[in-house]
Amino acid sequence: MRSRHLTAVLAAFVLALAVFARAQEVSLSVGAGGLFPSSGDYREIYGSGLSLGGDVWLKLRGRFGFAAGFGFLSDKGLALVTGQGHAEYPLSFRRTSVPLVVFYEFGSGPARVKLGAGAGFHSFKETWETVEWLDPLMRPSLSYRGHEISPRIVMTATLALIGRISVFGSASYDSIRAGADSALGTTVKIGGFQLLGGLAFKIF
Amino acid sequence: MKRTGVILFLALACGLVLAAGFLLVAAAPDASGLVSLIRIAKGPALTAQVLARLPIDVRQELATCLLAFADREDLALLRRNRVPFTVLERNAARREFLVVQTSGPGDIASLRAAGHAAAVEPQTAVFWTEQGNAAESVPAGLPRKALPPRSVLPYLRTRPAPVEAAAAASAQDPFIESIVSLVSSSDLAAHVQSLQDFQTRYASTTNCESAGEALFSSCTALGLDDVHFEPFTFSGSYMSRNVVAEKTGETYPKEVYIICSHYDSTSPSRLTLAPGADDNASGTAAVLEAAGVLAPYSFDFTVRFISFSAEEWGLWGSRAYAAAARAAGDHILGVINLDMIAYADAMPEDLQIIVNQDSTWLADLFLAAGSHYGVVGGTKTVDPSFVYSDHAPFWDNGYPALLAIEDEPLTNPYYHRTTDTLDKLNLDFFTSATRTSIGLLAELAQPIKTGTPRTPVGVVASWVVYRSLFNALPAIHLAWTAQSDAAGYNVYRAPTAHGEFLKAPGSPVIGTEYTDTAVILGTTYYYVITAVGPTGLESNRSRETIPVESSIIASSSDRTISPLMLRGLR
Repeated sequence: MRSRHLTAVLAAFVLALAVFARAQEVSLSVGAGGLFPSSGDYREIYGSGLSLGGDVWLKLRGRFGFAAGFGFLSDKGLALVTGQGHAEYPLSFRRTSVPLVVFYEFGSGPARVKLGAGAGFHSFKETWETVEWLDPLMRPSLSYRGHEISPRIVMTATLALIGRISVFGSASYDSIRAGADSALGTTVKIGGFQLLGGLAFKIF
Repeated sequence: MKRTGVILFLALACGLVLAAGFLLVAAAPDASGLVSLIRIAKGPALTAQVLARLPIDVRQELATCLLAFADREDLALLRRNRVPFTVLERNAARREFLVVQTSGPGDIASLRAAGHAAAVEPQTAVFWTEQGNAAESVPAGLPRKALPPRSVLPYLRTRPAPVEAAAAASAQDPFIESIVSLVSSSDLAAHVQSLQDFQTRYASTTNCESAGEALFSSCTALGLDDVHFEPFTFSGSYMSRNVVAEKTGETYPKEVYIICSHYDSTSPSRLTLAPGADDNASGTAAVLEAAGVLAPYSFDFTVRFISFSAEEWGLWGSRAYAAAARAAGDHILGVINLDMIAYADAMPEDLQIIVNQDSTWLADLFLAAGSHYGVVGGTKTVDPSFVYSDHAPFWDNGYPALLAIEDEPLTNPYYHRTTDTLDKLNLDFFTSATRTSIGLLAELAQPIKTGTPRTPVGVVASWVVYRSLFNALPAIHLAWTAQSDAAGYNVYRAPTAHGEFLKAPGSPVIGTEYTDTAVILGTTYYYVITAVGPTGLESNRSRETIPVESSIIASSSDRTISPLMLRGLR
């Protein structure tokens, strides 16, 4: 609920920028790709997950602009086992992100490259799918929910195809420290490199 | 010049003499009485943590204190840790010390007349002599026990914290009831009579040797798996023999339960007449009856029927046996020592079951068996100071053991007299006590019944940790060997050893693995597995298994996890 509010606020902020900053160009992109997590534990549990993303790009006067968007990551995996156990405990992880970056665009003709930096607002939840019954008096639930803000850098390349439509590929890096420790007492990292590919539509 | 040479020579000689003297003193620390026998009072200062870090040579645990050998460094260590102690004898090296049961100032006086004595508890004294022959000098008639040759501290350190829960009261087993119903009063009386007929069984006499041979022959005739003598020397140059018979377990042959007694006797006329009907032909007859009754059956665990000798001289036979068992690494799971179980000073008579802290579960089971199979009442007494029978050397070596005795303090007026004969015994009480003992032994050893699946073996339990990014789930993984006649397996768990085992959720399990996730790290759990046959009949329980936390080691990510590293799960 909180992340929806945040998304709405950011969307309003971007629209307000478009109006008041007199945007030269506004485009919309949607894509799909994968996350290559920086944490070894993440890779062991979930591997490389599927991610979806969409952004609104507002180019202001000159080469600078703002972008805001929405990202969604969903992974499934199995709990790591230490010892002689053979039981399997399915886990799922979902992350919703709202990135907000300032970018610099350059290029010529139909090809453009955007380099951006900013922040990501992340909401995430890890769920033990078959173990939710634990006695709450004895131990808390094993599932975990959190929110975190992290730095983000992004590089996007677009190539105009027909009219207002172009293809794009983007690489971004989110350094997300989840703000909680693992059971081993180490900091949990849920970020990494994300590669997306998709289509962009130039609104004006 | 010549004078200078003489002076130099004298100075050199003096220096050499001084150096030699210094070396001699340094090399003989005991000569200056550095090793002392001390009494360490049990109390708040003597916590488990203190015991864990003090390298004190503890030789005897009593109800209110420990007896230990300590050198100067040990004494300083005790002072630093504010552990109160009393020095009983400063020159303790190479001395023989006996723990002696006393009943009043008269006994202390008689001990002091024979040597040195120090009262360490209201009914316990330590006795020694300058000559070092304490066993030969101690006044006759006083129960005594030598301090063990090795420290008992390892067993005190590994002792689990006391739990209030008693051992699970077992239900009466009709099969075991059918076994104990075979115990015969007339057989018991006949066994006592035959032992009494040796006139004396004083351990140094040939009559005692003959009695041992008769016991050997009786056991051999029963068709047990093994019968042998175990010879030992006692009190310097005497020799005697324990008689050891065995019914080897089919499932756990190396896990042993023992029923034992001493067959030697004493009296004021010990060399010629010491019938010892109650002390202890009664216990020996019960052991022989147990061997006879149990011989036709098969058991999961090994049962040993042991008749010790030279108990009246200071537990020599059982000391030799228990020390050898510990040295050999024998897995003795429990010992039932029967000593004087046939005299009734009042009816209904009951049994005193004397145990140390590690053996309370055994007493609880004995009392339950008394109500199922005896029928005889009993009283449990946790008294580590009562070390005057053959259970004590097992305590010294870290084995759980109980003493079953008709009364403590003794009320038999014929005790250690030439009048301790069969006609003074109460056969009904004797039979009930024997049935109870055999019932408990059968429960522990687990008779194998036809038609039931075989008892599971190879049960291994280990802690496992399942981890996600943010959390961890500790669990205990159990695995066992498949039994061909099992359709499934029940998993049982208890919070204490020999406690009340409850069936784990999900039982019966079809495979040979089970993961228990309802656990908390740092807590000890005990598991047993039973096999369930196609018709629903359940096997005997596997032996109790405890998972070890240290088994949580290298993970797939090359990291080592110890339970302490896991936050928030204890």
